[in-house]
Amino acid sequence: MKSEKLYESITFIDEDIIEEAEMQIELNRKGKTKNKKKDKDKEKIKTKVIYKKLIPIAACFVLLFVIAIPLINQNLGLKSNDSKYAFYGSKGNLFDGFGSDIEKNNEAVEETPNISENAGEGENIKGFSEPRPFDFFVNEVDKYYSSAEEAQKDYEKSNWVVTKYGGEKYVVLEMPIEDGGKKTVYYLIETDGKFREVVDVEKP
Amino acid sequence: MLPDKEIIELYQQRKESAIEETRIKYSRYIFTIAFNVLSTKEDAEECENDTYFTVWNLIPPQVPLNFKIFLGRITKNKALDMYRKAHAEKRGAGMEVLLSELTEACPSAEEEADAIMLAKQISAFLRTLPEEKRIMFVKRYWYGMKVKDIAREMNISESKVSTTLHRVRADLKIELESEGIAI
Repeated sequence: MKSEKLYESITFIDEDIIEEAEMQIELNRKGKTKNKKKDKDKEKIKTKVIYKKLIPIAACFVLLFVIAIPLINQNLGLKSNDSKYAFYGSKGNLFDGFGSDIEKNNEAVEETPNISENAGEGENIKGFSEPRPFDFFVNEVDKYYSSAEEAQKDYEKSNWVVTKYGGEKYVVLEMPIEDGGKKTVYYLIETDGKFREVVDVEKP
Repeated sequence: MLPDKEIIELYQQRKESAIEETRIKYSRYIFTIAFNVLSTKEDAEECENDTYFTVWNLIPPQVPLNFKIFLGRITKNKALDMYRKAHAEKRGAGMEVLLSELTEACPSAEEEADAIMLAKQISAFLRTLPEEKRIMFVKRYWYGMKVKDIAREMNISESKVSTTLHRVRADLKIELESEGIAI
């Protein structure tokens, strides 16, 4: 009861003393509001800074895909003139290494549907003319072969002419024919290293 | 929100909008003071409504100089009355309840005069304290703020607030005793 009486008396203390405390409470409240506003502003600035940082990072990624990865690809074995086809594969560069005329042929046969119709004509194949980027490499072999067996021997001795599609390896060989011309033959390399001629390269 | 002066004028003109204006401006303030004493939402709301009713009855004839503190005092008194009543009921239907019920019938002028006398002594004592301690005391015992809230507002630790308040209470006791005031 004593404490209640004291509490009751405190209710009637001088107004200026209460006002003094009141002022501080108000100031604190305003301070809090200000701080909240400051915090919001800080967050906004943070977000801006993050965006500012993210934009160059995103740009770097774009550059990486556009420039760096092709360069890496080139370092994996493509010659400089290969690289212009290598990444987007619109020119059937995979068969480069079998003569510079292939590049010419590529342009002519973009729409050619099937290897079997065009084999021997020095024409390229639609199936191979649109390779996915990064899943192939080409080693140049500047040689005609009279048979697949002969080529296979070379292949076993060295690491050449390998074109990868969906995990499978292909080689493209040019072979002399009786009338003095040449014939382009496409082979799938089996897992044991044996060559198997591809008839329908649209579905290798 | 209307300025205090205009709200008081509405009371003097016996316009019921005075209560609504008071509610708009001071509802949170009154509720907080009541809640700090009563600790339940329902009781604090009841106390808030009692406060509006009492203010309506007091103005006129009274004309408060500081309307906010005037409201705070009424709220505190109402809250204390409710607290006493609730505790008396808890203790059972004995003498406490009888006294509590009789308190409502007693003229409170004498009791209030005593409280005001004591308040003068307390005010004098508070003036001798450094500002920080004085404000801390008022926040705790006038506004009924929690120790942790005071600590947060004043940027000090809770233990420092508790220790300071303990010392101030001890000093107040010595002061009041030296003045020959017995509570």
